[in-house]
Amino acid sequence: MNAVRAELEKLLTLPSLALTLGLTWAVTLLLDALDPPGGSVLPYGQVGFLILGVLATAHEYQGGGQIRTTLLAMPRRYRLVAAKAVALVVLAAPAALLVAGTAGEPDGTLPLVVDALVAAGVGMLVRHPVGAAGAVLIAYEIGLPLIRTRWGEVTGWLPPAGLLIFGVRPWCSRAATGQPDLDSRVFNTRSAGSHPRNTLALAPPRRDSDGTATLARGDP
Amino acid sequence: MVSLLDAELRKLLGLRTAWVGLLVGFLAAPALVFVSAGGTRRAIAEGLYTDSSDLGFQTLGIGVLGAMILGVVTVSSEYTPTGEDAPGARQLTATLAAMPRRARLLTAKGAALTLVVAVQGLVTTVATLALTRLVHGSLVPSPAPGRLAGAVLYWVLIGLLAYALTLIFRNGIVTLTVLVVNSSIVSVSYLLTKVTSAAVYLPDIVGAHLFLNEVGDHDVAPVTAGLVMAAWVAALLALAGWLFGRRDA
Repeated sequence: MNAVRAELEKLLTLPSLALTLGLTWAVTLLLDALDPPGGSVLPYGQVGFLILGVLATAHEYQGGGQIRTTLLAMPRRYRLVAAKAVALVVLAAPAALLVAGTAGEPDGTLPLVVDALVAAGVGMLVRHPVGAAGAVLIAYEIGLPLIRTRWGEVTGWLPPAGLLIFGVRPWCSRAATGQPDLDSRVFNTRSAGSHPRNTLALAPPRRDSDGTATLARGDP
Repeated sequence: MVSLLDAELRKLLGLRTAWVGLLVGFLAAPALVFVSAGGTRRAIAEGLYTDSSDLGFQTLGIGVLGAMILGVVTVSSEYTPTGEDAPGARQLTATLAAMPRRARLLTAKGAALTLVVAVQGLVTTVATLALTRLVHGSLVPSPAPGRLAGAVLYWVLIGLLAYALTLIFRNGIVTLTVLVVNSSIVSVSYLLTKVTSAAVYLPDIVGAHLFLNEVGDHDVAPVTAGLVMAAWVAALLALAGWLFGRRDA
């Protein structure tokens, strides 16, 4: 319990985390106010929660080697990891509810918290804030949609997220949450426009197994 | 100046993270040609492509990530603490001790980056287009040299854009987030083009007109696109240079 409190205090007092959450909320609010055609603004908030997760663990490995002090105080490593996860959930859950509520989709709260946890796991594995942020963002925003369009059948076979969250690669656990999640939602809704430039990186259109058209770019 | 360039090139190519950028840039786009070959063929058969000459060029979008990573790490590495025991000591201190003239330092750094990114862009573009021809054969018309040059120019400009932004923010995470998100399906720039047509002239959106025929709902001539994007990059570089000259190291 002390461990969780200590970790939570660290998270609450880090300026970069407060800044990330503030910006996430501001961007969601702003985009929601613009009311863009093509659906949800929650995927933009998702980016913020990924960065939040990465920073929550990777900040220990920034200059100064905070992790050494932390491990001196809490030498039991598994307990430390568990405390970090709990503290992150305590911080991220209300923030996620706020952001998801702002976007008008309170259902999106849980996926956002899971995203933050997965990103935290990657931050812990990579131990390099910039590297971890790059890896998570590229995996989530470019790799995952690519995998989803190419091998939509595979995602159902990936292991459940909750059990392996700190061990597996992010896209596996993310895809395994099973819900019609943000990525596929945004993919279906936003691809309805004609040829978005931002799908440059994506694979060409194909039909999903259930017959719904998943177009990476313009409808004919 | 040559020795400055040499020093900066060695520093850049000595970074592990830069090699990640190099490999992503070199491999991602050609790999995507193979991975998406089947889907692309189906899409052509179904008539989803109105302009098949865009085919190879569209794949390049994922490779530009390499240029972004290179542009970011060439600056962010200078601001990373050199050792765990000395969090205040950064590479930049040593760099500036060796090259006190800041404008020259920035020029050398930018030139080194441009050189690496241009070679990467050229090799990857040629390889990707050749592979597309190999995989799809006569379905794809042979690429015009002008568009090839446009793609390489886009590659270099994106690298310099990342370079300028990282100099302004002095933080790799911010720049990487902005750029990666904007080149993905949840691009804020693209969303803005749906709200106002002025957003078509944002640097990362307008740049794509350099080598793609179909981008979004709006049409911009390649030369205009190149000029607008170059103007953005030049303005941001000027701001970055001014800030770098005035800030504490």
